[in-house]
Amino acid sequence: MSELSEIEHDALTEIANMAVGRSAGVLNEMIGLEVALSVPRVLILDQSNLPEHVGNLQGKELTLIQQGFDGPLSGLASIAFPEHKSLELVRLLLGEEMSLEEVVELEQEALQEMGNVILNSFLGTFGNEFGVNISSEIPKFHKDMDAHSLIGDTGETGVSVIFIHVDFCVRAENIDGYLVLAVSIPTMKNLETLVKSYVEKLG
Amino acid sequence: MYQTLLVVDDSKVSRMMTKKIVTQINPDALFVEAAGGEEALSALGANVVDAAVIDFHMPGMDGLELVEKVKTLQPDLPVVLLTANIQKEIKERAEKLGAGYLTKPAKLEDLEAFMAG
Repeated sequence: MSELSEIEHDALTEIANMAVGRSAGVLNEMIGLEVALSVPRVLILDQSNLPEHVGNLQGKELTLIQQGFDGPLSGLASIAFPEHKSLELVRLLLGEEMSLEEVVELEQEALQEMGNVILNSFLGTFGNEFGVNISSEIPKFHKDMDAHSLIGDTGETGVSVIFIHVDFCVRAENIDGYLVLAVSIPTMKNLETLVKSYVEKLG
Repeated sequence: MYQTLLVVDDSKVSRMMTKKIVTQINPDALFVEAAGGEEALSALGANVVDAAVIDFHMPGMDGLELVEKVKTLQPDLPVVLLTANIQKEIKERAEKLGAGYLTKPAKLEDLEAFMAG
């Protein structure tokens, strides 16, 4: 991100914060309970430096929802839920009246839909702020993944990653966990152009 | 208030969530479900529905393509695009096709306004 000035980097971080806020809002609407969030940690880094930043996610089993996106910006957006909390989140989403068997049966579809809404909300905020259309693919569900899977297998060098980590807590149900968004962007030049234009418009 | 609703979404969970809210609005509501565009068009040919709620992101035919086809077949059928995609362009394209636009997660008051006609 050395191509961005301090103010441009600040603008990108601010848009990421807006996007996280909106994503948290939709999570709150979906489960119908207050979701307490920590201040998001927003980092923009080269993917080769990601391992040193995933910190407390190292060695943990994650449920991942990943969605490719294309347009003026292209890449992969991921959301991770702690695996041992997955079923509790699904129960919150579908309602208490569901049996355990039904919750287990619908776990993948429910988390996929939750990821779909959160990721689209996140990417849509970037699209709206930059005034461009970002098209996204159907989200994919992955279980038993680790933190390195967050950025997918890009097979490319020089790929940048917007990495956002938020701790969340649903106090009413004693569920705590984390929500991680990793957006890998091979088209970093395009992002830089969009950010510069965004800052210019701010005057 | 619409009675029979076509609900199109590749996610079974999303269809369940939509039906749950609509049933709160109209406990007598009936549903015709489809998991994709082609299935929705077949369902539309085989059933009489009062309105349609259509997802955008679906494998194969996307929601806007489906809205266009539905509007060609039944121009007066009230249709709303229910999508997680919050981008303005999607809203504009839906409205240009004569469909409403709602964002996921679906909210009771939004669907209530749509159901009221």
